[in-house]
Amino acid sequence: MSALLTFEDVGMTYGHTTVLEGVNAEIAAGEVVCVIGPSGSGKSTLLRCGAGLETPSTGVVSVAGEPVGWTRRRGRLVPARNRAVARQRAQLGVVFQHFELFPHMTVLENIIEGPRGVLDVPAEDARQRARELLGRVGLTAYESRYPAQLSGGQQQRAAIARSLAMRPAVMFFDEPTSALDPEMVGEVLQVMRDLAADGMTMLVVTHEMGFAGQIADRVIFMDGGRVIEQGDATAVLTRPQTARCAEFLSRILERPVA
Amino acid sequence: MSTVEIVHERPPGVRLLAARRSARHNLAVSAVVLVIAVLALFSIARNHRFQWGVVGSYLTTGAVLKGLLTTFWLTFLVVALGLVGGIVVALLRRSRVPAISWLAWLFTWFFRSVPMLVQIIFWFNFAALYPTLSFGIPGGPTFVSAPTNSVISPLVAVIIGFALHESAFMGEIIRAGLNSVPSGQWQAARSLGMTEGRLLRRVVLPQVIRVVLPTIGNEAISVMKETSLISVIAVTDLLYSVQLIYSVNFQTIPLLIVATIWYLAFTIVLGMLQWLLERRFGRSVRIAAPASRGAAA
Ligand SMILES: Nc1ncnc2c1ncn2[C@@H]1O[C@H](COP(=O)(O)OP(=O)(O)OP(=O)(O)O)[C@@H](O)[C@H]1O
Ligand SMILES: [Mg+2]
Repeated sequence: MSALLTFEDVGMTYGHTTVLEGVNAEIAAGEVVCVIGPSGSGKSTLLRCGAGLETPSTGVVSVAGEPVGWTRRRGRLVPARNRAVARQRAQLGVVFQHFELFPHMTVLENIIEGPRGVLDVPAEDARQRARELLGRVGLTAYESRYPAQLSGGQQQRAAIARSLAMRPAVMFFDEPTSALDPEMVGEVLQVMRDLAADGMTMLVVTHEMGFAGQIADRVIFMDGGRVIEQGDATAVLTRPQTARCAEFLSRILERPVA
Repeated sequence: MSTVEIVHERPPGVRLLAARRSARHNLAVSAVVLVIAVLALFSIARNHRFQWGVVGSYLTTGAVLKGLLTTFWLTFLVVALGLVGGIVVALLRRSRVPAISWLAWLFTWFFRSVPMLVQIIFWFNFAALYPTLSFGIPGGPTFVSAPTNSVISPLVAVIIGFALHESAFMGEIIRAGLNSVPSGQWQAARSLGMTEGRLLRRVVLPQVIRVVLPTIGNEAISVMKETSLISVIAVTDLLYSVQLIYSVNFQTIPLLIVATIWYLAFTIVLGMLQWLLERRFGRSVRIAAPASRGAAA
């Protein structure tokens, strides 16, 4: 298996604060990788760099060998034009902690917005595909509701459908269940499990260790902007090799499970 | 604070009584207010010095209605131009290029600070200050050149001045609106591959309009009144039309009342327009409100 998504020596600096430093990671097609680590360790920043929402200060992220945010010109990498960046982002799906559905559009309008406006899919095809996806996430009856009329779990499932409508090569999830009431976590995780089973390549930032253990092929543990440990999911979660990872896991597992 | 706690401890019957008593109290206050309002109206209506007969006879004369029409289109034009200019200024203000955001700040500072009256006179005399408009390289060749008066009439120059002034104010309103859209919305739109223009048009501006509409309604009323300054360049708007009439017949107060009645009516029209737009842009939120209340119950 060759890597679909690669982080090569990725670093990120805002002003004088270094948020990411020397991150190297590879994610193969169809693989599910969970990113864990304490708050402020740079997980969201790594995810935004991977999804092309931010360009790292150093290093390169590539998807299928194409550097994200850059184009090759005469053998050299130069910053890509806005349009080219937008095209790359279109094939990288992102699911946010706070859903970020567009509040002024219905669920169906949210889902067809990308395919219609960005990919120029004919209206009828876009609607048909959207309804198919709504069926998959169990929201068939909700297509004409506005986001504010849905529960958190329903909003997050609609947001997943919106991302999937773009037929992304990779899906990024940033703590997709941490803004949800406990009884709604399960329905969102189930949708993600189904996606993983369908062979979607996924990078998931999560605090749900049990879920990470079930779904992840590999786990990346980050602290202070660096990758401290990465490897086989069960190995990292049950037999961490570094003291910092062991300490983090024991701290998280001590908490009563919701 | 302590009364609230006591109310909570009362048995339900007592609370019902309290509610009935407060309803009776509200009714009494309303009655008093109504009586005062009627008395005030009576005093105004029966004061013959207001010359209601004169007010009535001038309310719908041709000159006044023509003035009203001028105020009407001038207000809408300035608000529309100001809105477009304001969006541009607000976006430039957010630019990552320091020189551009600084320039936008400078624009806002300047056009908000210079009194409109000064600007009107300045723009009216623009042709005297710059007799010819030319396009070329300063100190080098000139490509096109024309007398200023043939390119823009003084009235057009003044309208441009109004629009610039209004853009500076609207820019600040829009900027606050842009800041109210959470960064996650911008990120979500970008992650769908939207270009910045599309993102603004489809995702951000519709949300901005919803939050800034009440403020813009307020601003439109200010513009309506500010357009009356245009009388200094002899444009016969509503106020100047009545001024022309009372400078001849000296019925100053009744004619100012005529103008006031029309300004009041215009404000109602603006208010209705605002209400319609708020309904249109607030649909998603309004529809959602009862459902979420139901879910909470
Ligand atoms: N745009 C920014 N400007 C300055 N500092 C930033 C910016 N974005 C993130 N940071 C800083 O970078 C650090 C890492 O942030 P990040 O959001 O990636 O952490 P995280 O691991 O996702 O944390 P959490 O688990 O709380 O979500 C934090 O200290 C944060 O304050
Ligand atoms: Mg985060």
